[in-house]
Amino acid sequence: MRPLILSWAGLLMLLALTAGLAYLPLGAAEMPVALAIAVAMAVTIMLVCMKVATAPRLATIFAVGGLCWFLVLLSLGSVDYHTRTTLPVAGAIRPNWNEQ
Amino acid sequence: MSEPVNYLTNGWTIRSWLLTHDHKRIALLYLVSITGFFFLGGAAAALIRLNLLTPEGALVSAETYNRLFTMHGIIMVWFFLVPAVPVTLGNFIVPLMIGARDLAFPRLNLLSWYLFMIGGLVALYALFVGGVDTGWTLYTPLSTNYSKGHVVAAVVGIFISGFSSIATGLNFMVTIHRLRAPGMTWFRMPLFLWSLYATSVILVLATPVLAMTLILLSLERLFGIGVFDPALGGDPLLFQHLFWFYSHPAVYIMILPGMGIVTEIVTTFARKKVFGYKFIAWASIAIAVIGFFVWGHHMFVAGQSLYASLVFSILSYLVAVPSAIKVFNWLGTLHKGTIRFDAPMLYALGFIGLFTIGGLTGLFLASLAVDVHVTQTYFVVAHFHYIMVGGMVSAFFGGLHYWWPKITGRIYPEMWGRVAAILIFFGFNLTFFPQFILGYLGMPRRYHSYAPEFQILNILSTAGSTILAAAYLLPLAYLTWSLFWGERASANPWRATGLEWRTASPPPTENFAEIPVVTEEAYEYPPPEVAQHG
Amino acid sequence: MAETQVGMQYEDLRHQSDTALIGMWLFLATEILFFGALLFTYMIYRLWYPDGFIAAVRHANILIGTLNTAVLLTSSFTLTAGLLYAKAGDMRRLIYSCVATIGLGLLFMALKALEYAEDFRERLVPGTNFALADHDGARIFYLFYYTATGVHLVHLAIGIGLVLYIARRARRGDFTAQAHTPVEVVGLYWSFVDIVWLFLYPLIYLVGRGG
Repeated sequence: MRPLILSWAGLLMLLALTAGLAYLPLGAAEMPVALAIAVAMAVTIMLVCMKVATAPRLATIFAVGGLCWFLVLLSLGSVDYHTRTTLPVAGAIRPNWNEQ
Repeated sequence: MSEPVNYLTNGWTIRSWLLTHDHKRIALLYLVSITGFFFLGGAAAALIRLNLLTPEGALVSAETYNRLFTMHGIIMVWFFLVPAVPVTLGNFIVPLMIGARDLAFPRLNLLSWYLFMIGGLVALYALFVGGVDTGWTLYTPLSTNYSKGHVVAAVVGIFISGFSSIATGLNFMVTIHRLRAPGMTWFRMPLFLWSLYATSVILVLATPVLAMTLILLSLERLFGIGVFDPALGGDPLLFQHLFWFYSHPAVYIMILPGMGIVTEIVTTFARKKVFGYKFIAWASIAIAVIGFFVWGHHMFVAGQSLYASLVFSILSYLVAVPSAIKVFNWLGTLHKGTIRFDAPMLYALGFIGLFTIGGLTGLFLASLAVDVHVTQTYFVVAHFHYIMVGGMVSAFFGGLHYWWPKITGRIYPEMWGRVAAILIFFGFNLTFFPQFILGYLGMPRRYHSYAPEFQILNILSTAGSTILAAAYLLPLAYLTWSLFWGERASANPWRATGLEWRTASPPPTENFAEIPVVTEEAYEYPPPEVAQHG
Repeated sequence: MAETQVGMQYEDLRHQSDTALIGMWLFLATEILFFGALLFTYMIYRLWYPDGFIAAVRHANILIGTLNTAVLLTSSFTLTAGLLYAKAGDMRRLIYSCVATIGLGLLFMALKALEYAEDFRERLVPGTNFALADHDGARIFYLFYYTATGVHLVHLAIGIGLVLYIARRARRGDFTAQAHTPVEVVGLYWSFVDIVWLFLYPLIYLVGRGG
């Protein structure tokens, strides 16, 4: 029970951390930092609550597989969006992707 | 002398069927539903072909025509091709072939049938009461902003049936991992199981993306948020990316089980070990994996970036390689085999030829320059019908005939089986080969009328479809006939290898009196003597 | 008192239990793709409309959001405590843990309802009279926000139902210290719903607030 309570406390601290960091002007680093903390919290839950370390090996393979496939969607799916040439159209909403 | 109890005679009430946990009964429940959907989708096709007899398309209005091809596509894709082999032959045969008494999660299996039925009924409601005119591909902004059809209702039906797909895929994957009989290693499994495993991987990974896409589509249509609407800052192409991320792997869901059936039939009717077992096994996995990386080839002219199109084009060529490997392996299996031309073999041979043509024309389409010319024409229509109908439906019929004795305990009339197979092959080619030419000459798809110079080829195609329709009705007739008057089948009428043939036809509810222990590799011909009955 | 049944397709109870866990993990893998499609949409539009998204994030109620995250985190731990009690054979405390988990889940929903009410009051709903209409892309943020939190709520409701189910079975005496797989399986699902929220939280409430 103790490891459980300690992890819970740790997670609440991480939560406070990420909420606090949100107010700092980290610029482009905001997203990676927030996501990294979210990942840390998720991994803690997976280890402590879901017991991923002692789960049948197949279960871990499935979980990792699902994650990989999600990354395929993100990466291959954004190839189009990263390589489009958008031409400005007067008066319409347009993405300011290429205007940095 | 009383017959031993088998899964069919074990309980006669409707309750015992509708609340069954037995994978074999669930397979039959599905078989009835799937057959119904097939003929409904086919009826829509018949009306389409009849309309296309004349250039003006005088049979139905343009609006009705749009609803017909949408109905045909939605029913055939989601309520026939995607489920058919896995839920009928897969459900029935997988536990038997693997040496198990049922699937891993029998109640989930029953639930998936109910989800399928509910989804199907909702979709049918939408399609018949008012109809949907967007094409099965539901492209935005037509589906979200302009269509006057029952888009959301149809989408809800498809969404519900998606859960059925995921449940089936999950069940098969876990079953194949966990319930193999003692001695049945992965590489001793019949290859039908490898293809169903690969199919299941796609089912569980791709279908959830479709589910979310359909939610977004419905929200856009109902509330006009702008996720796909350019006027509000959205990207209509995003819909296509999300849609095809599912729908391209979906076509491999449709074909992989058929390929597995062909391997089973070819080995049995050539009485020969399969050529290159591991190649076929890994090719199935490769098709499933690489199949996820090619979806952009449906969007070459849609506004996708040229660079992305290049990437998808190259990957699309790559995905053809494992399929081609399978074709060579089937030919290698046939070579110097002791070939019998029973009906299942005729279907399998038809598959090999027609799938090859369909697959090769896929490569034409994967080439960017050629695709610009033939995209959205009948060339594409012919390409996928060669694979789906010439390939997949033939394989389904082949498997149905092959395992019919096991499922029903009856032998179908062989002569009629062969007649139907040959008629299907002939009718199919007459229907769809002219469409390659029509597409190349420029006839666009999804139009209820066409330029007069295309009429002759259209008439040929419609003539072929009439033969095809009659040919499809034949098995319905003689297979049903065989249920009552067909010769009774022994445990292993084909003298095939495979654990499913080592139990009675039809099998008892618990599948095997004793779980077999596997000591041989797959397809070791000649097989050991049939040990016992039921 | 019901004995745990072992299906005829399984060798023994262990075979069945492990298979059930594997099945749930596979299901959770599919859920990654389900939410993943929505996250992909978010990613694309965030890159297209950074201003609209930042404006919307700044209007999000970070107090309720953070509170809710804490509530869900705690609920994962109460349910895991329940699992530990089940393993020790203490079914009474298992039931208490389930009740606590359900309570926290309902608290989450209540806070969310308050938040939605406030969103409507502040006209943070795309449509006519949209408060952030002059920020390109804010509408799409709100599509993501309502869809993601809505779908998450549905999953949470199902989770509450499942926890109720195992609480009832525990009360009926279905579980023993050796055989309580449904508790583990539901625990996996519940933790997953928690993890989804852990990623929605920064995307909705945090990133873009800086400076």
